[in-house]
Amino acid sequence: MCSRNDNEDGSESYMEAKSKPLWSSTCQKCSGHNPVIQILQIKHAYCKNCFVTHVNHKFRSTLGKSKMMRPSDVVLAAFSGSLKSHAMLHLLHAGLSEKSHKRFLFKVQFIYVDEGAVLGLSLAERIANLRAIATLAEQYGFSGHFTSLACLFDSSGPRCFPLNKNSSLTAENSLENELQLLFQNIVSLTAKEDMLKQLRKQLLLLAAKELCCGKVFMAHTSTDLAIQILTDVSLGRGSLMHHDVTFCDFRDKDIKILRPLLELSSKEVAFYSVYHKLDNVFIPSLCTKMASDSSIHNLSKQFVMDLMENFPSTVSTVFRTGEKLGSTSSPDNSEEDDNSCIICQARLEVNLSPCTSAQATEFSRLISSLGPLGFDSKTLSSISGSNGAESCCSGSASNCCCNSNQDSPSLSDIMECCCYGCRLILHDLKSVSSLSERILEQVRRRKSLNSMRDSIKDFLL
Amino acid sequence: MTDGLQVTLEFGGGAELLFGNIKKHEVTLPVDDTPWTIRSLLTWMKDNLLKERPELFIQGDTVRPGILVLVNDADWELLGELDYKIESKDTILFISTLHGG
Ligand SMILES: [Zn+2]
Ligand SMILES: [Zn+2]
Repeated sequence: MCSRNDNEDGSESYMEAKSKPLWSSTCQKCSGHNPVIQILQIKHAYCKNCFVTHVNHKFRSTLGKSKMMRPSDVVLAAFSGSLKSHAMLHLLHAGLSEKSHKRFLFKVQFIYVDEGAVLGLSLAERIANLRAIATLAEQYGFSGHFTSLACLFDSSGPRCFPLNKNSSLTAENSLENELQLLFQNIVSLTAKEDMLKQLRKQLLLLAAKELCCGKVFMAHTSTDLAIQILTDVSLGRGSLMHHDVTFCDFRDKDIKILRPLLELSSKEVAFYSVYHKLDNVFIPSLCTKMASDSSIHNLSKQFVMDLMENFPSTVSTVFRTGEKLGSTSSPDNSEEDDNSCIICQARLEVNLSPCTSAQATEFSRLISSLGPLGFDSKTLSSISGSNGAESCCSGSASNCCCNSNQDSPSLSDIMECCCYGCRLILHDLKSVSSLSERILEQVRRRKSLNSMRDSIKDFLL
Repeated sequence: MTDGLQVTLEFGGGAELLFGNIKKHEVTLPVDDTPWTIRSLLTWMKDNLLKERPELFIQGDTVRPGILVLVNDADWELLGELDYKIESKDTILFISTLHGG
């Protein structure tokens, strides 16, 4: 068995069940105060002061041992108004206010992503949220920005705007409609959540570029990442999972996404925010108030939380196992960007083994769409040549797909430019035309590039 | 009101959403023969305070996993959890860690 708990002598051990808390009457660190929280990983009951110091220390050591931070860095912290992201701002602020040698040398800005259009909020509610966020972050004195999810579809204008207590939103209607149409067309909540996550990430990367920040900080805790591991595996993103759950996501050439809270649990971060009296602006998301079986992400969350009740080491077990499943691919520094997924930017698996789940899904989709009578000896050959590079009409029919590069690409054209996980989102999409023009444009470009390569390949050698 | 047990109930991290979006409730628990515990408080909250979707707050006889409980700023796990005997003027905070971000 591949368990991190395997003992040296080869015997297996299982996750430790929850033990009775230690009934100590004083803090096990300073012995001076009453304990207020039991920190499970180290089985110590700490007082408020020692606990807050412990969180600060964990945060600093996570950043420190990564050896990634440079004094010249400008960090863009993603701030949603949640307790976690507020705690992250507070920790950053504390690090920047330290004395002399302990002080963080990098600079910090923050950004709020307005997702109101997808969440069905009115413009007035969205503006109210915006101002509440600005008020919440004001005390730290960081320069703040905001952007709107629909800005992702705007290739011309600036995407980031200064955030202050008088900031206002003007919904760019055509873009907002495009965004709303896209989400209306996605059938399942699972695919909606996954799409929102991918779009948000892309927008943060674009915003960081616009603001000349080389690093984006996101407030994911170890608990979040354990949930993410199970979700990723369930959604067919297992091979890319290590990007989602480690300290650094380096898929983008210029911008790194870092997760400085990943050695802290959601419980620790929540207690930290309580002890510092940090407030939050709660903006209900897609899955809020939904039953726990409404999406795969919600189910994974429930599963991890339920297991944690009796086995407090659940998170670290899942987490360490996930870490072990690191990808075989090395950081990709190639300039070619046409082998990355057009939706999530993950690198496409170019050298697929003969039998992958991607092909199995493709096969089952084909069979189900054909029905029992449509299946014949030609069916399978269309999958095995899954490059789809053969031209369908030998170029004679003028209305055939191979002559209509300018029109909307077909579903299979788009699928070819997507990773396995994003293909599953597309399966839940009612109509291809609701994808953004930016994505469709990229598909067209890649398709014509591919056909060009095909047509000249005989002359090379 | 001198009868009953006066306690402050607070909600955070999104748990307030199930309680009419109000973060702080001052309540008086009626006099009872047996002392009030978190266990009996949860039942009382379900009947008197919870506005919607009780299953998102209470599971079985305890709080839904992922919701933390603090009594006067201390982790209820150190205080006996459901069996903790509530005292007058206690502040009990329910904080949800289930919301993403
Ligand atoms: Zn102490
Ligand atoms: Zn993808």
